[in-house]
Amino acid sequence: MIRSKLMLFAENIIRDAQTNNISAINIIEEFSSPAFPLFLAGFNVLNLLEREKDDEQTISLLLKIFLNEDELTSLDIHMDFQDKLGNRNIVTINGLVLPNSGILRAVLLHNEKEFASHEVSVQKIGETDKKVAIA
Amino acid sequence: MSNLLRSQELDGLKEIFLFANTPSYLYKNFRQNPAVFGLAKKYQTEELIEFFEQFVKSEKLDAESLITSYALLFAISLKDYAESRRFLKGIDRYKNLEWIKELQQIILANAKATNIRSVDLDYKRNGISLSKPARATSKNVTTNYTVELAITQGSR
Repeated sequence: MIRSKLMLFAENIIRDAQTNNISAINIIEEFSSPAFPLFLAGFNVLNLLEREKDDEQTISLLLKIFLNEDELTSLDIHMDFQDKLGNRNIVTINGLVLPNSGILRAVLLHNEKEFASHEVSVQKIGETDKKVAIA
Repeated sequence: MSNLLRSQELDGLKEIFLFANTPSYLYKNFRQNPAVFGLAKKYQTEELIEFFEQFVKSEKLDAESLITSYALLFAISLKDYAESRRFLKGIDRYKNLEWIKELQQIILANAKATNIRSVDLDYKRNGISLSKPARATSKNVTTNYTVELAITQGSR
């Protein structure tokens, strides 16, 4: 059965061409801002998948990002294991607007069922009179 | 094609080749060499495969051709596995290259499947409008788009 070993948010995800290793730089544990909407310039979602020998080589997934109950963005992901038992999936989100605080949640769906998820809190701290924030 | 590597680059690779006493030494040190990395950066996977086959199939495989063949092989191993997989699975047929079977096993064992995608900000969905600057001050100025949002500093 194909399963997710790890899912996280990070500012940068790097694949070393020589060693083929993946590095996550500045793992995001929460977002905080004095004002909303908060404009996120970009971040990455890393997902490590693992399959067993008898499992299919390819899998089609849907990545959805929610803030509380509201869907902010979604992306179809077709993953090919290329005869390997593991697959690293990196999705770069080039900008996202968080309208308010709450829980930011990335969900991977397979056949409309939740396959893997990761969430971080979005907190409002030190209110100001500014209307919009950027991170 | 014979000028794929400069003589200085070839000398560096020859040194590695002469010192190599195991396939893993050859694998590690060729892949770390800037000349091999340069080949991977300069050429597409299909081009590298074409060059490699031309070198390996040549009747006279002299020292220079042999070193270049290994350099091309390791340059291919640095490329996206999805593009090189079919070729790498069949390289054991090039028996005139020493350690080719062992190198194939090492390359395939270290190859990992990776999917990389990106999603751009849906400006309309997020209620953001983009506007061009009213006028450019110089011909060299690239047109910048400005996001019409008041901005304050946030933190993570």
